[in-house]
Amino acid sequence: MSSYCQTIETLCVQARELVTALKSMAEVFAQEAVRLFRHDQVTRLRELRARVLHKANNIEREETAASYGATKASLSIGTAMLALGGLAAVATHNRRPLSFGAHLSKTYLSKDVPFGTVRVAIGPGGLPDNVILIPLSRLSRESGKTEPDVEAALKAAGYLPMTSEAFSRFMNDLEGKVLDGSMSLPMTLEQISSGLTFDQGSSGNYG
Amino acid sequence: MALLARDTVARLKRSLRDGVDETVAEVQKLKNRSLELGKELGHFEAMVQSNQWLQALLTLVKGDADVSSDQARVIGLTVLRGILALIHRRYAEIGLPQLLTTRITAAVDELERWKP
Repeated sequence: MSSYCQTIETLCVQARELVTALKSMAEVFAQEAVRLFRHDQVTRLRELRARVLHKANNIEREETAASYGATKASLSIGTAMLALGGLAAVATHNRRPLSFGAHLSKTYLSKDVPFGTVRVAIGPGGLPDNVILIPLSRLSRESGKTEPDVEAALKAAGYLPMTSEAFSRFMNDLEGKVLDGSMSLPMTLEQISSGLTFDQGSSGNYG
Repeated sequence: MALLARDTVARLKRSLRDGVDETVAEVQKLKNRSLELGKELGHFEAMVQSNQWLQALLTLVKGDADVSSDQARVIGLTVLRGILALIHRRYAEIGLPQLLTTRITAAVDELERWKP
């Protein structure tokens, strides 16, 4: 009889050990699931950053080309104006024909047209779905407004614009937050603004 | 004679009662221990039934298809990482071919990249 008791006692101990082992195993799986979830989100953020920065680079290249084209065109027109101004001055018996031409071409050449500024903006929809690229200089040229005005209009529409470099730093910070579990995707603009402190690049700071 | 017989019967009765009491106590003890074991097994069973990871592990080990890709990925990665850790700690003793280690590492990387 006592040997049966002993056997049952041993089985009890083994069952208890099994339960403890199962608990630890379930915890390990749960922790791995959390780690993978965060890892996947960081991967999504990295892909998003790479995609956005690649597009930003493309826009910057287009802007460089546009700037080059515009400079070339304005130089040609400026030269033509210098010549025309000179001719006009000669025809009107002006004593300093070159000076008149130079004045005309200088007035044309000094027109300040913006090129090259690109902003990454996070929209009200937040991350990861509502990130857009704003060719600020192009919009400014097309609309005839200044770049700060275009940027102010973006902010008024609920967007959070920043430079490519600031966006890159912001995404780095965000990755850290996602990895430590304090933030997770999807994130609204409000959560982003309150959860992170980041600078916007040249346009100022967000607290 | 009658007195002796009565005394003997009384002693036999006492001895029998002691034996029975002892046996009843032993059976009671056995019953208590069995109930305790039953409780532990019930605890074990309930834990397996209620925990999604243990259920998934069981399903996976049985080779059933009724397990989500996410769960298979988590379990696969945990197990493969465990094997890698074992290999690293006891490499010389285990004597696994290097190629197998490389393949397991590659499988871990693939599972990490997998988007179920």
